[in-house]
Amino acid sequence: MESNREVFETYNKDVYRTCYYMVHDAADAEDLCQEVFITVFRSNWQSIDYLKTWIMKITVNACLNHLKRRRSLQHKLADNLHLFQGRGMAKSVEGLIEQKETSQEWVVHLSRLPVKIRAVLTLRYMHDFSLAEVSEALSIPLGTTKSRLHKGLKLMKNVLLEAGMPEEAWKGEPYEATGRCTQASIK
Amino acid sequence: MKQLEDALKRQLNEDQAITYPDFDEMWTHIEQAESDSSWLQAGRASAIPRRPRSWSKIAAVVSLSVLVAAAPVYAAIHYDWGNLLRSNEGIQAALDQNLGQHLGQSITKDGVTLTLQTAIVDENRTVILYSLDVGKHRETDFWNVKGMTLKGTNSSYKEGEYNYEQWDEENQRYNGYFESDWTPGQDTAKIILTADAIDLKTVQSKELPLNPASPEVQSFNIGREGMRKIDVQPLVQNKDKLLLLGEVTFDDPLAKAWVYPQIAAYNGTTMVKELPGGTFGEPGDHGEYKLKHFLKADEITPGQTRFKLQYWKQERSIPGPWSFELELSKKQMESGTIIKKLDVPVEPGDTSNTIEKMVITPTQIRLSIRYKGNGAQEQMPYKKSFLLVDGRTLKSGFYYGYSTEDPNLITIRFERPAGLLVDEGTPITFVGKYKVTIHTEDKAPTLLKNISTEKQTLIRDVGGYPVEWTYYMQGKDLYIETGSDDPHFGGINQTNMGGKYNDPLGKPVTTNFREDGNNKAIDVYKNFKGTEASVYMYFYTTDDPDKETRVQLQP
Repeated sequence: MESNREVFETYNKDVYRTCYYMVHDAADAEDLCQEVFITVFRSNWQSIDYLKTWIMKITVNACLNHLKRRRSLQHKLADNLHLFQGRGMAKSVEGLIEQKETSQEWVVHLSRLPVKIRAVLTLRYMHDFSLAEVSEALSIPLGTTKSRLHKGLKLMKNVLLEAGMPEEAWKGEPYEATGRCTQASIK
Repeated sequence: MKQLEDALKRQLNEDQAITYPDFDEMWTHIEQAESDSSWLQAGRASAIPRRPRSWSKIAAVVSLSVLVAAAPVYAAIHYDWGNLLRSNEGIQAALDQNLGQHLGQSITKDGVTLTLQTAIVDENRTVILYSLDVGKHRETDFWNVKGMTLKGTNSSYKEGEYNYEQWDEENQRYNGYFESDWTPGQDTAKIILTADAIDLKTVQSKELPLNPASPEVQSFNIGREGMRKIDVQPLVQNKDKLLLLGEVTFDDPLAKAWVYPQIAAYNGTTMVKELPGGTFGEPGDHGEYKLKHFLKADEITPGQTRFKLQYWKQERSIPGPWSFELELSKKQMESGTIIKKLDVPVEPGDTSNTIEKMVITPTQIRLSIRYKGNGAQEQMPYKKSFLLVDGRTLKSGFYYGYSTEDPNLITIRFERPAGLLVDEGTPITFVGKYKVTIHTEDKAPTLLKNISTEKQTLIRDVGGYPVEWTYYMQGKDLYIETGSDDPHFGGINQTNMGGKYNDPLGKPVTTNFREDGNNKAIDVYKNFKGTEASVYMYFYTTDDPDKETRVQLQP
């Protein structure tokens, strides 16, 4: 691979998808995706042997940092409280969060898991990382990776069942449905 | 587990489940950022053509900061915070008792001075009071400190961080406070308080020639502050309410973070008061910014009422680092602090919600409530919370404390009013009011026949309440409105046409809230084909505004 543009075209979808599943917000994912590529281009990426593994490591860590630092939407909006006074804002904000949960995609299910577990599942199953690669990318011991992966699968199973998705729905073959599942919103 | 692993592999790589952004546009942004950074690298002769840059930005990069470090000092501070702390009574009470830690550090950049005045630190939270001197100030100016956060704390998650400023006309400065759930693990801790930038914004508006009588989607170009256009659809809901559904498309997705567009209606110079229930900022499928405004239908006269889009414009930004090194101490608060492990149910027989802990500090009383139920049950079914403390009633704050790391734990916060004495023997009772119950048992379908553009209504019994179902086609989409005249019916959360994997799912048009007293909901089924439909509910709620629970917490 020779140019920045080539790297961008090759990995933009992988990076964006990772960000989207990690942060569960399209706008934030877009910003993060851009940030990741800027970081990549400011590094000496030509000297990296396993480019995809390295880019995914940057991506997941950018997402983890973002989630750490993210002030909740409530607070963002509350910053501008004086502009919106008298419009029942607290309720509105709760509503935004609840509304989002009506989404039908797996991104919702994944977002129910703790972020550290989400990171492990994303690298393992979206990008087919080996356990050792996951450990390296997240700077955690191999044993921790294994236990997070195990815990993640257990939690995921519960989340799917809780969301009213029977086991047959994700077990069955062939699998035509594209990330659709019924998900009760919180009214 | 193998199957689940396979399903994850398929799902997480399923391209159709995801809407990708415009990568070409993103590439343009990246190239631009790259050329900016190359140019900024001092001393390096750049081959990249220079674009005109504002001198104020360059000045900000090289301006010097003044930083004065300070050790904890306790002092009587005579500073008038006006009504800044009106929702933080406990902080005001602590200040009145001289329980604040004097900070007195300032940073000045480009003529703007941020001064940290006082810290209040206890077992529940850290609050830092500050002032902002901006020099010349116009009435339309709104300055704010952006991205305030604590660094160097061992906790990696910054829950409940928030800052807010208010203009103090008398003293010609802004007063502000920063609040965080972080507290020192020991008596004292060294931390760094930073802010990303200090911004100046003004409120702007643009006329929208909207026809409120037409239920069609109406599109208006904006072309300002990174906003491309707004689509507005007026919908009359339940005869008396006009719902404006807005969707702003951005040319510059970064502007979404601060533009906060909203629609305002004016009769002459009077702004039409908005009904509660409106929302803003909900992200659309393609990154749009969605708005919902509810107005009283009889206050809107087509042809006479004027509509405006109002939004923020960023006039100036003074970038950081605005960074202060602080040593904070909670020592002074310790004598007035009681931590009590409780583990009592929210009401007798409730195994899902347990009051786990109570933390009483000189500024606040917090209850932690743990939820152990499954998704079909209600997390904290009582929607209004009070504490009876020695005969006085405290009402809980606006928000529940909620942690993404431990989503099953919420904290309810009660500000401590001045003069309220609490010790281990003070009687404290928790009172929960307004119970909302979720019902999932009704799995019978509702059959909608002869679906057409004409609005048709049928009445179906839901849990003993008569519920009206109104359905009609609008364009290619089927709209289903539900609601009941009985206020004890809480509303249907969402509908579907079968609930199985591939069955159509209703998309809620309205954003409803439990305990809001509104049981009306609208679901839309996009691109609906056919004239009949069997519609199922996920769940409905019932409201019991008068139901009350009382839990004695001490003695």
